[in-house]
Amino acid sequence: MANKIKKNIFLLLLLIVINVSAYAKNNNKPTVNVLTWWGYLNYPEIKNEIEKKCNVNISYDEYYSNDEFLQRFSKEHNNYDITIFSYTIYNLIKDKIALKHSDLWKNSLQYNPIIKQHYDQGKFPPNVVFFQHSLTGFLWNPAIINISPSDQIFSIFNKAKTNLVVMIDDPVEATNLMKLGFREQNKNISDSNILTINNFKQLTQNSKVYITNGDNNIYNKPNFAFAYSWSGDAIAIITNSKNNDQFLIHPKLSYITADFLAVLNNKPEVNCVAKVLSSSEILNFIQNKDYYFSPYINENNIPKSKFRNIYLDFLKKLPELTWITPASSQYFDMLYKTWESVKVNLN
Amino acid sequence: MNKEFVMEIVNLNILKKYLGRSIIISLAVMFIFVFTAFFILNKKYHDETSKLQQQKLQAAVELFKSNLSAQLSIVASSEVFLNYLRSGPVSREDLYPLFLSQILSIKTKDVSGMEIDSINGSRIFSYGAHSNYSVPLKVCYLNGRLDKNLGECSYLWTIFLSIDSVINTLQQINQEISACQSCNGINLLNGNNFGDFLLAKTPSLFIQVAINEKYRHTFVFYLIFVLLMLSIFAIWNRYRIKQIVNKFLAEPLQELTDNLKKNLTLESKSHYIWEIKYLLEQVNYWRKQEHDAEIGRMSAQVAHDIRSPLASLSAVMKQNTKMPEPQRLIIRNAANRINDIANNLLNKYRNLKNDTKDKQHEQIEPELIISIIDSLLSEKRAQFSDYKITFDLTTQEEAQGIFAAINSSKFQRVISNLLNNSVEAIKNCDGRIDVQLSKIDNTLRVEIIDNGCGIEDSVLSKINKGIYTSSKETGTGIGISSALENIKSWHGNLYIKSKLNEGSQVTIDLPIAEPPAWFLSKLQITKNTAIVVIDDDISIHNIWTEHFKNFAATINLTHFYTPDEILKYNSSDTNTNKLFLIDYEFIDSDTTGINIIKQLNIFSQSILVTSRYEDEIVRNFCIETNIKIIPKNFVPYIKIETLNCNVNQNTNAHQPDLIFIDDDINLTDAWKSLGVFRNKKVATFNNRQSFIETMAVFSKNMPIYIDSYLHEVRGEYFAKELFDLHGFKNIYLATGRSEEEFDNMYWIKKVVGKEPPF
Repeated sequence: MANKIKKNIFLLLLLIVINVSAYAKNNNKPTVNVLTWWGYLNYPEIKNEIEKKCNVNISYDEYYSNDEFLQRFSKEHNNYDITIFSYTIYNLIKDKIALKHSDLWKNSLQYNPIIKQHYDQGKFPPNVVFFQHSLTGFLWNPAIINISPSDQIFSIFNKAKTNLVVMIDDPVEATNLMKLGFREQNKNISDSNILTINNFKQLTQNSKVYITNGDNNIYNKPNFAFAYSWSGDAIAIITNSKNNDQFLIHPKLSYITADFLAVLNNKPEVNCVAKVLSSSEILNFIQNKDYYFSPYINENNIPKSKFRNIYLDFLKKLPELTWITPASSQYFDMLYKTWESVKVNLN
Repeated sequence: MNKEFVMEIVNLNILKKYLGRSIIISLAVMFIFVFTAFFILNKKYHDETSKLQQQKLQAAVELFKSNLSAQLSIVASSEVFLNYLRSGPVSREDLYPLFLSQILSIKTKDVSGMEIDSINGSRIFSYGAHSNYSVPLKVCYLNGRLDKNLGECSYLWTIFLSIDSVINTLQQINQEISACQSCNGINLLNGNNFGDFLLAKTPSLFIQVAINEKYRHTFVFYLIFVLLMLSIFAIWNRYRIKQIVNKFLAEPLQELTDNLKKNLTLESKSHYIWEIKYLLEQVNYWRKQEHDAEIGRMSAQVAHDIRSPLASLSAVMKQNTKMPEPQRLIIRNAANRINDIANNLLNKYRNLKNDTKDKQHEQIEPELIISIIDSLLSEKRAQFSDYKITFDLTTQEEAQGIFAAINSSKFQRVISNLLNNSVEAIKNCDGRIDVQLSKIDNTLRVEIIDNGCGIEDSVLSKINKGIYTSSKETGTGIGISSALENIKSWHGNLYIKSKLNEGSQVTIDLPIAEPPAWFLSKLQITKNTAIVVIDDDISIHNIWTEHFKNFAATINLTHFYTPDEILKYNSSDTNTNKLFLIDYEFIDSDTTGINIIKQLNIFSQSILVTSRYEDEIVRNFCIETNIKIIPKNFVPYIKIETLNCNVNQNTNAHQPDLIFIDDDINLTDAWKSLGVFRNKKVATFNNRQSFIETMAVFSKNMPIYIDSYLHEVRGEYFAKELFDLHGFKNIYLATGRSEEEFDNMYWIKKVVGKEPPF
C-alpha cells in the first residue's frame, strides 16, 4: 500500500514537471495537432516547412487503418485541428468534420480537371479537400508468380499456391476484390453476403494470407507471391524490396480511392497549416516521396523516376477509372464486423 | 640391448639388484601413467565442467533474458504503448501517465533506464539512469501486434541495465553463479533476437560472472588419495616380490650353490619349488651317474682282462674232444658263466654310458628253468667239491618242462648267488642244499633250502622289505636286493624264510611262460616205431633205454655212439617209421647232429637232444626245419607216451589226410565217419589242449580245420597260435559264419563251412 502511494506521488510530480517544462518550451508558438494516415507527414522537410511558414509547432498522430482512425477520431476529435482520412469512411464522419466557413476549398481550383470535376460533384464541405489519390492493383514477385491483366482473381490466388499473399486491411477494398472474383466465377452472390469467412477462404484457396497495411517484412520473404495493395504502397515496396517485384493495375479491379484533408476548427494557424499541407507544392513533394497521386497531377509534375509510366498510365486512364464509393455507416459497420472475423480466423 | 642387459646379470646379488631396480622403474612408469591419466582425466573433467558451467550460465542468462523480454513484450504489446509511439507530442502528453504506468509495470531492478526512438532518429521517450550496459531492441509491429519476423520495425527501444542487479538476479536463478573480475564472463546479447524483439545491432554485452568450481578440490583430493594408495601398494608389492624371490629362488639357489661348492649332500626342503627340486634331483642323479660310470669303466676293464684268458680256455676246450661229456659240460658251463659275467660287466658299463632306459632292452626269453638249475647245481657241486655239502634237485613232474620268461644270464647269477649264500651259511659244517621245483597254478616255484645258520629276524625283516643291503653286496651289485630287483622285473617274487641256527628257505615264484617252438616237452611215439638214439654219452643211452623199457614190445630201440655208425646204418635201412634222437656234438668228430640230419634227409623224423640248445645256430636251424629240441639235462625228466590221437586206423600211414578241431563231438564223429566212407584219414580233436599235446606228430603242412568257437578259446586265435608259434601253415576256419564277418587273418587260408571238404 505504501509503495502504491509513493508511486502515485511520484507520477503526479513527474506530470507537473513535464507540463511546466513543455509550457516553458513552447509558450511562444501554437501547436497544431494532426491525425493522419501513417507516413504522410513523416518527412522532416514538410514538417519544418509548415512550422516555418505558419509559425507553429506541428504534432501529428498516425493511424494504420480506417478502423484505428475511427476509434481515435471518435474519442479525441476535439483534440485534433486537422485530420487526413480515407474517402471510404467519409460518410461516417462527415457530420463531425463539416465547417460552414472555410476557404480551404480554394485549393481545389488548381486540381487536375478530372479530379476537380469529381471534387465538385462530391459537394464536400469547404473545409474538406483532396489530399492524395491512389489506385488498387497487384504487386507480385516474379520468382513465385506471374500475373497478367487477363488473369481472373481466382486464378491469381490459385497461382499463388501456398505462398504468402498480402491483402489491404480494408473491408471495402476486400469486398470489391471478392465481388469481381466471384462474378468471374459466375456466382451470383449479393453484395451484402459477399464478405464471409467461407467466401474469403474459397477465394484465397491455399495461399497464406496476411491482412495488413503499411510497411512490413513480408515482401522481403522469398515465398512472397503477391499483394493486393494501393499503388503508392506498392511502388514504395518495389523501391525498397530485394525482390524484382512488379506492379499491375488490373483493368477490372482498379478503383480510384482518395484521402481527404479536413480542418476541424477556424483557428488561423490551423487554417494556415491546412492550406500549406494541401497545397500543390507539398502534395507534389509527397507524390514524389510516397508515390501516391497528387490531386494537382499533370504531365509537368510527374517525377522522372522509373515509375513515370505508372503516373502516365494513371493520367491516361483517369477519365475512365471508377472512383470508389464511400460506404454508408451501416454498410461499413457490417463489413467491419465480418472483416474482423476474417482477420481473427486467419490468425 | 637386451643381450647386454642379460649379460650383466652374473650372480644372484646382481639379479636381485636388477629385479629391485626393475620394480622401481615399473612403479615409476606406473606413477607417470597414473599421473598422466589423472592429468588427462582432470583436463577432460575440467573441459566438461567448463562446458557444463557455460551451459548453466547460459541457461541462467536465457532465463533472465526470457523474464526480461517477456515483461518488455507485455508492455510493448499494450495499446497505450503503441498509441504513444504513434502519437505526436500533444497526444503523448495525454497518454504519458498511462504510458509511464505501463513502463513502470516492468517490475525489475535490473532495468535502470530506457530510451525509445523512432526509426528516423527522433527521441520518443527517455527514462531512468543510463548505463554502459544497454540492450538496443527493434520494436516491430504487424497489425498492431509485436512481430519481429514480418512486422514493420519503426522504433528502437534501448534498455539500460543495472549490472549489479543483473548479477544478483542471475545468482538468484543459480546460486552457483558469482561475479568475477578476471573471467571471460558471458555475452548477454548473443544472436539476433531478444524475446519478441530484434536486436538493433549485434553488440557484445559481457557480464563478468562465472559458476563456482567447488568440485575441483575433491578431484585433487582423489588424486592425492590414489597416489598415496599406489605408493603403499608399490612398497608392499616390492617387499612381497623381494620376499618371494628370496624364499623360492634366491635362497634355494644360494644353498644349492654353497652345498655344491662344499661337496655336501643336496637335500630338498619343503619350500623348494618343483623346478628347484627337480634340479636338485638331477644333480644328485648325475652325481650318482658319475660314480656309477667310474665303476662301469672299472668293470669294462675287468671284463676285458677276463676275456683274454677265457678265449684261451675256449680254444683249448675245442681241441680237447676226448674229454667225457659230463666234465666237458661242466667246464663249458663254467666258461660260459665267466663269459656271461664279463658280458654283464660290459653291459653294465654300456648301460651307464647310455640311457638307463636301455635296461629295458635286456633280452628276456622263455627259458627252461630246470635245465638252468641243473647245470648250476652241477657247477656248484664241482665248485664246492671240497665242502661236505650235498646239492640236490627235486622236481614235481608238472614242473619239469616249464619255461619262464627271464634273462638267462641274470637268472643264473641270481640262483648262483643264492646258492653261494647257502654255502656261506653252511660253511665248513656238513650240510645240504635242496633245490625244489614245483608248479603252483600258473606259477613256477623255485625253492632253495639249506640247513645253515639261518638269518636273524631283524635282518630277515629288512630283506623281505627289500631294504637290506649286506656289506658283501656293496660294490658288486649282486645280492639279495639285486636278486629281488631282477625277479620283480620278470613279474615274479622272492621270499625268504629263516630260522636262526636251523636254516633258510628262499622261495622264488615266476610266472609260467609258453615254451618256445623248438622245445619238445613230451615224446609221443606210435606203435612199431624204430627209435634211433645217436649220442656219444653212454649215460644218455642209459636214460633212453630206461625210458623206453616199458615200450619194448611195441618199439625197436637202436643205439649209435658216433656219427659214422648212424650214417652207415641208415643208408642200409628202408624202414620209414623211424624217430631219430640225435646229439648235436660228438667226441672226436667234427660232424654235428645237424650234419647227420641233412645228410640222411631225416628232417621230419628227427629230434635234437643236446645241451647246446641255447646256441643260436642250433635254435635257428630247428625253427626253420621244424625240428624239436630236447635239452640234454631235460632228458631224465621227459615224458614218453604212445600216440593217443583219434586217427582212424583204416590206413597204415601215421599222417592223416586232415585234422578237424571242433568242440562238437557229434560233428567230429560225422567228419570221421564220412572220412571212412570216402577213404580219408581224419584226425579229430574236441579241445585245444588235446591237440597241443599231440600236434608234434603232425606234419606242418597238414590241413587243419578249426571251428571258430572252442570252449576255452576262439578258434581264430588258436589258429594264429598254431601258425605263429608251431608252424602250421595250412589252416582253415570251419565255421557257420561268413568270411566278411572276420578281419583279414593272414594265418587263415580260407574261411569254409562245417561240411567236410571231401
